[in-house]
Amino acid sequence: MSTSLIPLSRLHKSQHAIVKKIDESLLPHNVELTKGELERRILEIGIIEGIELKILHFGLINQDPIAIQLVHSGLTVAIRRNEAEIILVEQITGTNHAR
Amino acid sequence: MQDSQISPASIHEVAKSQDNNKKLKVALVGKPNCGKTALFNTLTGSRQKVANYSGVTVDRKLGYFVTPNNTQITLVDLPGTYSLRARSPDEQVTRDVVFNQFAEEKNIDVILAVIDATNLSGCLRLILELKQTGIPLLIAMNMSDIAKLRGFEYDLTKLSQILECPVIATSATKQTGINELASALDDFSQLTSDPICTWIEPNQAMVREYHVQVHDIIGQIETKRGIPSIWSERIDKVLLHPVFGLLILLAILFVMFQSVFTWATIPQDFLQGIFDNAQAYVAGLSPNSFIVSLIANGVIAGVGAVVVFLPQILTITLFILILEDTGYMARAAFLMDKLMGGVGLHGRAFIPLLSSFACAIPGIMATRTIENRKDRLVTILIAPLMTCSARLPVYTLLISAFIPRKIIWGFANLQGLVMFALFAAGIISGLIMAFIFKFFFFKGDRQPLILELPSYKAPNPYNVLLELMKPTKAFLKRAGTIILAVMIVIWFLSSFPLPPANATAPAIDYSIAGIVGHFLEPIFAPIGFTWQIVVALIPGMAAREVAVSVLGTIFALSGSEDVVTHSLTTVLQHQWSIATALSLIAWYAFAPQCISTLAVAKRETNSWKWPVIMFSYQLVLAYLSSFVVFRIASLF
Repeated sequence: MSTSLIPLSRLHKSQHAIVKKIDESLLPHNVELTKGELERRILEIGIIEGIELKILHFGLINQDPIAIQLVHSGLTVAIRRNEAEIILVEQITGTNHAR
Repeated sequence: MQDSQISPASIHEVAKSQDNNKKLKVALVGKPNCGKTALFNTLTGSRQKVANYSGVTVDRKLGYFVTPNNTQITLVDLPGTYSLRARSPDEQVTRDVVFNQFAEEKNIDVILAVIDATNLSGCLRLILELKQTGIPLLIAMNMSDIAKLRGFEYDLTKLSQILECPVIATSATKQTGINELASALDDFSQLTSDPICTWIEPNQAMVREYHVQVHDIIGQIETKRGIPSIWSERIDKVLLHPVFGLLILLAILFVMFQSVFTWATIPQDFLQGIFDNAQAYVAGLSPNSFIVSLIANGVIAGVGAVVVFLPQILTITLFILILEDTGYMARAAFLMDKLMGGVGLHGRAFIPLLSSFACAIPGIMATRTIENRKDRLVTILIAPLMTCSARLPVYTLLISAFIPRKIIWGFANLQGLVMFALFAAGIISGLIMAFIFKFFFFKGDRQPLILELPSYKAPNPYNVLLELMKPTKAFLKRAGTIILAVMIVIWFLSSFPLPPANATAPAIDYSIAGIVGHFLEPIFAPIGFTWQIVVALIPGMAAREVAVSVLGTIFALSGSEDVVTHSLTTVLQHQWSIATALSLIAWYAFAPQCISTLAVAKRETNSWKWPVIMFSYQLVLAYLSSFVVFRIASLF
C-alpha cells in the first residue's frame, strides 16, 4: 500500500481513501473566492482531515463532477474535479492510483 | 426517544388551565434538507403568511400557532444555512435575524434549531455557532423516525446537558414529538434585554475545531451506531450513473411534459365544459343587454379561458415538488453541472431554471441560492426563456388547433412531442444566451461546486399538499384580480365605440381595440401577425395566459357565431394560416411578455439595468425567430 498523497481527483470509481490534507494553494484553476474560502466550504460540508471517503460516480463529460461518499456519516457530496485537486488523500483499497 | 402520536391540529386548541397571554417570537433555523419546511408546515398548518422584507429579496415566511399552555407563537421560517458566515443573500437574512440586527425582525425570543437525526455531524456545527448568539435555543431533532429505522440511538438527555438547552425528538412526516416541541416553548419567556453575541467569523482552523467538538459530542451521545442509508447509495448507483442517470433525467422530464397533456386534460375538459355552459347560459338570458355581454363574453369567457389551465400548472408544480422533496433535484444539479458549466452556468442554476418552468418569478427568486453575483445575474436573465406554465395556455391552444393529434413511433403523442420541442427550444436558447452573457458581460473565474446530495426520502404528502396550495392560490387570485380586471378593460375596449348602424365589418373593427390593432399591425405584419393577435399581445403583457382569453373575447365579439358552438380552436383553424400560428408560438417562446417577471428582476437585481437588458434581448430574439419561422413556414 502506497503512503504517498494523491489528489482526490485521481482516485478511481469505488476506491476508498483517507483525507490527509486540504490545501488551497494546490488549486489548478482559480475560482472566484476570497482566500481561505474554498477550504472553509470544503470543511463545512464535512470533508476534513482523517475522514474516510469513497468515490461513487463521475459525471459524463471529462468525468466531472465527482460524487463522493463520506463513509461514516453516509453523506454524499458532489465536487468538481478542479476543486477536488486541493483535497489530498491516501488510498486504502486497490493498488493502482495512476490516471 | 419519546414519541407521541398527535395531530398538528390539537396543538392549536385553546389552553386547558390557566389563561396566559404570553407571546413569543421564534426563529426557525436549520441546515438545508433537514426537514425544516416540513416542520414549519406541521407546526403552523395553513396559518401562514408570506410577505417581503423591504430592501432585501427574501420571503418573510411567518406562521402562527398556540402552545398547549396558551403561549402564542409567531414562527419565522428563515432560509436554510450551513453556517452563520452567510455566503448568499438568503443566508445573510438568517444571520442578521439571529444576530438581532435585522430591523424588521427584531426581538427574537427563541431560536428553534432543527437538526437532522440522520446527519448529526453535518448539523451540530451550526448549533455550536447558534449557541453564541446569546438567544435561548430549543432543538428539534427532526427525522428521528428515520434515524431509528437505520439503527441510530442517541442519548438526548446527555445532548441537552452538553448543549445546555432542551432537545426534542421529532418527525414532521410522522408528526411525532410536535406536541412536546410546542410544550417546550412554554418554558421560555420573552427576552427582556438584548442578547450578548459572542460569535466571530470562524477561519479554517476554527472550522476544524468545531468539527472536533462535534465529533466529541457525537461520541458522547451516540448509544447505538446505525447504518447510513443503504438505499440512497443503491439508488445513486443508477441515478448518478453518467449515462443511465442522464437518460433517466431526460425520461423524467419527458414524462413530466407528456403527463401535462394526458392526465391534466381530463380535469381541464371538465372545467372547460363548466365555463362553456355558464357562458352559454348567461348569454342566453338577455341577448342584447350590455351587462350580460360583459359577464358572458368578458368575465366568464376570459377568466374561464385561464382557469382551465389550473390542472396543467398543478401537474407541473407537483412534479417539481416531488423531485425536490425526494432529494432528486440535487442529483439533477450534479448530472447537469458539466453541461451547464459549458455555457458558464453554475450547477446550482439548474434548480432555479427548473422552477422557471412553473413560473419565472419563483425561479428568479430561487437564484438567491447562487452565491456568486455574476452567476446569479446570468441565471436571472435566462430564466424567462424557460417555458413557464403561463405559456401553456397559448401553446396548448395553438398546438391543438394546428398540430394533428396522432400517435407517432407507436407511443408518443405528436402534440406532446411538439410541446416537448418547445420546452427544448426554451432550454437551448437559454443556454446559448447564457454563453453570450457570460462572454460579454461576466468574464471571470468560475465558482466552485460543492453540493450536498441529501439521502432519498419519500415525499411528505402533507407538505407537498400545502406547498401545492400556494401556487394554486396565487394563480386563482391572479385570475380573480389582474386577469379579471384586464378582461373587463379589454371587453370595454373591444366593444366601444359601437359600430355604425349600417356596419358591414364585425363590430370589433370599429372599437378602440380594433383601431389600436390596425394601427400596430404594420409593425407585426412581417412576422405574420393579424391585428387580432396584436390586440391580444398588449394585455398579454400583464399575464401571458391573458392573450388566450383576449382572443376568446375578440372572436366572440367579432361576429363569428361559431364561437358559441365551437371552441376557439376551431375558429383559429379557419382564421389563421399555419405560418401565422407557428410564428406566434415562436414569439411566445421568447418574447418579454410578462411585466411581473421584469418587476421581479428589477427587485432581485436592485437596478433597472438588468430588466431593461432582459426586455431588449428577448424582444429582439422573439421578433427575429418569429420572422424566420413565418418566412420558412410560408414557403410550404
